[in-house]
Amino acid sequence: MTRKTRRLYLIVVSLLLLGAAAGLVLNALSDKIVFFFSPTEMVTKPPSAGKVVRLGGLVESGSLHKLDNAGTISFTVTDLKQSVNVNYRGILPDLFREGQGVVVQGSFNNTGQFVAIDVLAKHDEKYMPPEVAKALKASGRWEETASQIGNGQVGNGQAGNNQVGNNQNGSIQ
Amino acid sequence: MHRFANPGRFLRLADRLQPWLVTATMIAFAAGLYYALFHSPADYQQGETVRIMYIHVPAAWMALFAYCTIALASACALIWRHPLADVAAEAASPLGAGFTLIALVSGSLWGKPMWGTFWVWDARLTSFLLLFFLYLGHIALGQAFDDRQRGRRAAAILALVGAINVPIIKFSVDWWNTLHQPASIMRMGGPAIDPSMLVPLLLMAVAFQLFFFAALIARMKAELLSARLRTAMFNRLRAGTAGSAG
Amino acid sequence: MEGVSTFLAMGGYAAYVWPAYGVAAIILIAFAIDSWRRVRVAAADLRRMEASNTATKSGPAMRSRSAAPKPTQAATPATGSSDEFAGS
Repeated sequence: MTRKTRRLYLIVVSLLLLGAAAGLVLNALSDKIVFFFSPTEMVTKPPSAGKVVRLGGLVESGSLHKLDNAGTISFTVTDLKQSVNVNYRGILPDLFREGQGVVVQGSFNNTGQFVAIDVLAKHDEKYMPPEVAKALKASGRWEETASQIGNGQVGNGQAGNNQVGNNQNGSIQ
Repeated sequence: MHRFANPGRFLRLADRLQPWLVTATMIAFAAGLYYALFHSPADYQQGETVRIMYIHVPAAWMALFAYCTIALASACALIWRHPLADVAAEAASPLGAGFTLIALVSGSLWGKPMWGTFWVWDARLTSFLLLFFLYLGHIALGQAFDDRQRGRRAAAILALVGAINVPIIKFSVDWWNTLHQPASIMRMGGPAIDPSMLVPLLLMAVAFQLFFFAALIARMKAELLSARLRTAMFNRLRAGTAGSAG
Repeated sequence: MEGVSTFLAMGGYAAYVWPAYGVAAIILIAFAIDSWRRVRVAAADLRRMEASNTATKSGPAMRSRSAAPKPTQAATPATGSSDEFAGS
């Protein structure tokens, strides 16, 4: 075996080992890397009151309304299976609207109401001009994408299984 | 002397290629910017901020492409000791860091109005920030040794180890739930971007790619010329001392 | 005129769109200038070196170094960068 081939094998083997190690670490960490929890996870394993967590899903159409004149709003976050009602007072991102993806940061209070301290909008991977969107909706070829709800819920069962039942990990340190 | 045959051929090829590359880069940028700023529609959700995509996405692609180039060159340098491979890796590193910085800053400027935040620590954004630090580490390590060859070897090993971050960045949006949306172009079922927006995006991607090659070749050429100068000076110095001694 | 100001306003997102393009432009132009300058400087240095080399060679073979002004001049930068080779 020449020195070149030896070096080639050495590098390939060490990269494979390194890749395997990284894969194991990432797999072990996979539920720590969760950025937000779905309403289903929130309902089945609710975090303790006062614990700050992130909740992600779609803003349910028709659920958005004003709670008082001080600017508090209320809306429902849904993953089309379960939903969680959220109260919020503060600045909303421009993309926040009914039917759009959203990630809210906040906690359940003692009465079980989710109170948000921060609202972030999540959008899908589709880009098109308004006329095209209108035409698609008119012709009935419009598809709602699952990506707004979160990968754990739709189309990617593997990732979802890791997350269920691990409600402490979505908390913010 | 066959060690120097390759750089010599590279320099001749570079001189022939460079004018064409520079011209093509400028044409691609002119066309890309025209489409990106004037001849493409606003998005149905994101309005005019979608124009940030024509900077952000090509820069992010090139940040990954430059890193793959460095990793590949580093492997060639470590295994076959190819004289051009080290030079290529060293020349590509600052360019990759620049692309990463563009992607991070433009992404932040896009995130604020749309998501409602300049920055979140989700898997995509965090792994991309790590890429920036890998680039900085690669640049620093390459220059950290008095012996150039040792520095380059250490940098090559860092580049190969850090290559693990590339698939992590790419698939972070599929493996974990993130605030960042999944891929729009390289996804199953074809691109999710209307053709009127795909044209400026791809034009800008071509422009960034050409820019990378043009700048890479120029920096490699500069380094090869300086290496030649150093060798000539070294030889003369040795001849000089030998002459005065004898 | 109105078209220009609407264009510059970017639908109210001027404060985000233009800085994004500005940062990209600054970084790319800086790289273009730096890369071009590196080639020019390296090529000029090499040319100067080669020119002084041929000057030395064309002279009498065993001339004392101090007698010829040109090689001494060129030898000064050579000592400066010679330590790069000390390690290799």
